[in-house]
Amino acid sequence: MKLWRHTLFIVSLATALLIPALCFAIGEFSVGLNIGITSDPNNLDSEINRYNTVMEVYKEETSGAKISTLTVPYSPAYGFSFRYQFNFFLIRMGCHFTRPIGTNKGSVTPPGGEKNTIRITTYQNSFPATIGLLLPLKDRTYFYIGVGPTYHQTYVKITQSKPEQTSTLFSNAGLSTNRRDRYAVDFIGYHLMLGAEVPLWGKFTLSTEWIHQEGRSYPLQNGGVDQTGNDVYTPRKIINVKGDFILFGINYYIGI
Amino acid sequence: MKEKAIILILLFLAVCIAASRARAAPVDYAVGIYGGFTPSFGGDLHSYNQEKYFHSNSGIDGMNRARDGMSTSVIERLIGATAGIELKGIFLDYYFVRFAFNYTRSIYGGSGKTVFTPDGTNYYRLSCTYSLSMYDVPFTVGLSIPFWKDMKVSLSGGVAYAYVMYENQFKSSETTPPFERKGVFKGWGLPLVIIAEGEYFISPKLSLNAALSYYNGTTEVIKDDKDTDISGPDLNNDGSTPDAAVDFSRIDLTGYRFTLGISIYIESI
Repeated sequence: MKLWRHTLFIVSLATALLIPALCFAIGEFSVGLNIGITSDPNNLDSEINRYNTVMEVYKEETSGAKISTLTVPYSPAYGFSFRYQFNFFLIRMGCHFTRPIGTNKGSVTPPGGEKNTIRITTYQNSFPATIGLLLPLKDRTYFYIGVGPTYHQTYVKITQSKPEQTSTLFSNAGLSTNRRDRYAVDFIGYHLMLGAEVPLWGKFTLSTEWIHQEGRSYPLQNGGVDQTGNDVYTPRKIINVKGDFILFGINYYIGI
Repeated sequence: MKEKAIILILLFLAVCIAASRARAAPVDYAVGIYGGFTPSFGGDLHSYNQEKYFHSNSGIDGMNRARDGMSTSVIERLIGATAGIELKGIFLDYYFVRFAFNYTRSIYGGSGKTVFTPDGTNYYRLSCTYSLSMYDVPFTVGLSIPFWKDMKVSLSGGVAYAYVMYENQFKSSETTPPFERKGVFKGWGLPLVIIAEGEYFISPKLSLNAALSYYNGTTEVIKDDKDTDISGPDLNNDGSTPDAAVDFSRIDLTGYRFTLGISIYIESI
């Protein structure tokens, strides 16, 4: 399955690069640096909500319990892109990496017990290959729309400092009671892209891109440890990269 | 919240830089009004009590059940109607800043009848009602491109301040005694906003526009502030009869909006 996915990705890239050559077209190359933002990378919202709800209910029902809830993070994105455009066609290869700023953590302290701190670490690295249509309006002023496959590298780690303090609470709610749950996988999804580009000065342009991406991993084996430090392989988890990015970029056109 | 504050500051600085560059350059402003709709408004509207008492861990989606011999109806996700006013600024021909005020409320879906069982043996019909309303103030920056002689396309991203109120009600007159559970959740969030908009100028200063807006975010988990529940039987079959049930929910602000509107520009296109 993994080989099939990698093959599909390589074929897509090769196709993207070969199309202009087949068309004997002379267009323009550009390279760009992008910065932007997304919300809730790897879709941990429902899991965070579950932890928070369980902790809020526990605090409501247990006198003396203290909690601090997790937040659904905003996440800056950084990346670069290579583009080739000729006539009304656009081919774009890019990469954008996103990781929430700071540490996303919450905690629950049972009455008379020790604090169990929950920390969530996640990142996502995406390589979209886009084929699109370009509306050339005037010199280096474009509006474009495209689609294509995306190769994702994803990582999620959830740790608990004293999971034994909240074992019953979390296990009753179907949440993990491991000291560490860790999932990492790469897979292929797809994306849609809308973009606008205007001249800045000389061969430099400014662009804005909206990327909507979709993709899900297969159920992943846990690479974590339980409360006693032994390796565990459950619970399994599916990483979903469905989400949207807004990217602002500065591009430089290379003459050919 | 720290990272959200940093992002807001960065956005503010970006606007200040754009505005400072635009001081001696052409600036155009527009005001507009628009209306539209938002499908799946509020997502599945899950709350803790729906799981505790009615065994749905996916809100509305999980509440939809049927049983032979019992008359039920589909509870659909909410569709919201939205209306708003906007102020747009375009600097140096292309750089775009947009500020708006929107009101959105549910107008369709969110009510129906389902079945539930507190003990796995006896089944009862349950009337469910959901509603949601929201005020939001989005602030976005991006690019606006004029093309041909009478069109503009813009793409922008930013953050909104959103204040939401979510209400749900579950009642059954078939249990002994009858019961009613109400939840009211009020809170706020700072969703990510991305907007793609196209405008067609029907006169040099007047445009019709269509926009697709994407919101992504949630509120924090909010405690139900309604204490008017009417106690009923032992709904979760734990041997105790519940009193007024406290509920918790986080409100999902994620979704798309489709709008049509009209804008008036200060300068001609």
